[in-house]
Amino acid sequence: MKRKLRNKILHRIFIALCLIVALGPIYWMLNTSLKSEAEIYYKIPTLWPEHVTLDSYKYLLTGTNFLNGIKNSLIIAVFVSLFSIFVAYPAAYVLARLQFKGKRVFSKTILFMYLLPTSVLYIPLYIFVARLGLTNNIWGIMLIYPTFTLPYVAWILIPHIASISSTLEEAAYIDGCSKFQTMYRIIFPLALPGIISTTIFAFAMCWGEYLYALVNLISSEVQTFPLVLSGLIFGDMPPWNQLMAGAIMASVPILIIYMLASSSLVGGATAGGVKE
Amino acid sequence: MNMKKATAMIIAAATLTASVCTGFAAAPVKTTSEDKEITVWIEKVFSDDANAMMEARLQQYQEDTGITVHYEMVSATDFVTMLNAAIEAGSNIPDVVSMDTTKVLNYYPNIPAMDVSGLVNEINEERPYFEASYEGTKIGGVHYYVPYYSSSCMMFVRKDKLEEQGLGIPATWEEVFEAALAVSNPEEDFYGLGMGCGENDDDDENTFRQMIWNAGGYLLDADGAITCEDPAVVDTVDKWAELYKAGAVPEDAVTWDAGGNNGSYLAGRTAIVLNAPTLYNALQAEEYKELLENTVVVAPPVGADNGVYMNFNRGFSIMNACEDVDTASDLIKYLCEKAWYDEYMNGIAPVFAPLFEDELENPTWTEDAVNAEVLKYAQNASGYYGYPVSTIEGRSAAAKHYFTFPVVKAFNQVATGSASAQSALENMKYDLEDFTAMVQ
Repeated sequence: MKRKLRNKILHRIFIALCLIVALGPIYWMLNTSLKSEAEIYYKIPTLWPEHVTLDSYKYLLTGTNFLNGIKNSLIIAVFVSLFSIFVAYPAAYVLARLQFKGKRVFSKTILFMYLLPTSVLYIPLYIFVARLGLTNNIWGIMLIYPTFTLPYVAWILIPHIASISSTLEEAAYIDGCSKFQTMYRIIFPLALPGIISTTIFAFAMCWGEYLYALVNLISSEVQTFPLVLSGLIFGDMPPWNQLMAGAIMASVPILIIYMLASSSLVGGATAGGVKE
Repeated sequence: MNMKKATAMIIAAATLTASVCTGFAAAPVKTTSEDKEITVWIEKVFSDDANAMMEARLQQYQEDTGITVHYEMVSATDFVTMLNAAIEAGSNIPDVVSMDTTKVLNYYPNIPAMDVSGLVNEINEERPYFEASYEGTKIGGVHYYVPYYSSSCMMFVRKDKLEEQGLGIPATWEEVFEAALAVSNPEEDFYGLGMGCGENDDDDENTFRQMIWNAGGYLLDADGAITCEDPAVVDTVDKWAELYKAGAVPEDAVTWDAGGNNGSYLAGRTAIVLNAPTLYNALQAEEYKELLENTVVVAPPVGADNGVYMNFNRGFSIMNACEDVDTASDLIKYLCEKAWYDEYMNGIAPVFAPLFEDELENPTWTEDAVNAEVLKYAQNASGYYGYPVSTIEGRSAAAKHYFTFPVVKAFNQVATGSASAQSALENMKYDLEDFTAMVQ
């Protein structure tokens, strides 16, 4: 009994430590966002603002293009993440379920495409988009982002789909389902937790993306929020409180999506199944 | 949910998003009766008011001339990446951009900006530039940008701390070092000199270079020969390392970035720092009232050999891709028109200083003590990366070398004891040889 209690306490301490490590930076962001510029430079940093001020939030919301940037980021991230799932799911299904020549090469190519660094690709992709006349236009960036979200989503979905029992598919074929119907009516619902989580990650990748947006979105009307935030930096005195306020506000949509999706993730994982 | 319904919803959402997006694409370009247009990218400055003034001026030009001006105010951190992408792609290159000497030299031998010496001479005849700006912004005898204003690096001194020790405001590096040692009290976390040498500290990279020049040491000579192992350079590196080891410089200074020195000053940890006047603006906050009262802002100290300051002039280039050079030149002249220029500079004083001789009689720049010091800096700023090398190849190599922040690296190695001054500077020599070979 004593040992059980001790283990319980140790577990709680471990969880508390993990939470401190995970939430520490977010707490410090919030703390800094509520400070005046002068307080940020105090000799001994204050753990909570001496004088809480919302000036940074006010400035971001009324004195900058931040809200417009959030709107642009939202449109781009929603479109690209949905498009990525739409295209990557069939690709992942084919690579997970079907046997054909060159399957391994296709799988590896998807991984390599994802591993190509942004710094190598941004100029060629800029040239590509410029030739299409789509620079300074969010359509241009929506054309670029799938180059990293598609391989990512496909690569994550392949093992997920592969882990679903093939017995269900066999049963569907016996009941008269075509391959297409099986893919969307049988496997898709079972793969939903994986699809939702990869969609969230694809969304997050687009949401905070900086370099492609930087070179392609020049006008303030089309810029995404990371560009609005980087535009606040002048020289060697960054307005840390405004930057942190922006980071806090930009975290909200992601948090909401995670919270909304979390029930589907659990529910989807336990729904359906077969008795073998 | 029915699968057909789910698929239909996804497609509908994607289509809806796509159709909404069209509404947020770039605004359509308006054309004027004259059907001329020009694209301008301006590097934003620290002040929203100043940026708004610049925007208003560009809009005014459009109204006055009927020429459509597409302008973008781009943050300094993003400017080069955006410009490089446009240049590399060969499309969407703006006609007029903000430029400075280091940027131009970084592009060498493929400088994307035009020779605007004729335009600079025309402006200079109407309204003479300071000699340091007119001559100091020439690259290989050519102006690739029209000098417009100057940033600076001023010395901020805690007069109260120096007065406690019976010391006046230091005017030479020797006096700075003496004062730093006298006022330091590491036990109370107070240090005389706030000069850092973290690996990305571009601010103090410039200050250390200036310190070396002032002592008569140079990384390159006028012909481009590498001279970074000269005794004057070695002695300067050793001198600062001595100060560091003696506790006159904060221990954490070896990890600072460019914000380290001003952060230490605002936190009340240091008595002397060299920084852009953005620090002076920060001191205007109510919380720093007392610190501001105890602060004196002066031009940097001089050395035993000379008093050369680093030139931080910036201006406007006309890009090679510009198809209407006359309009681009006309726009730049419009921005230089005296009445508006003086009003604009008044708005961004003292962070940026004007470059014209007649400003020496402008009360904005003579009656305010800080502004006067900043103007003095601009008037005397003739140093550049690689100073005094005169060849364009040498200057280009030095400018590219600068971006590796080699001087702070050497100071860091010596201060932390990981290398002697000789071996740190020997490594710098090898790096410089590589950069020199790269531009040959």
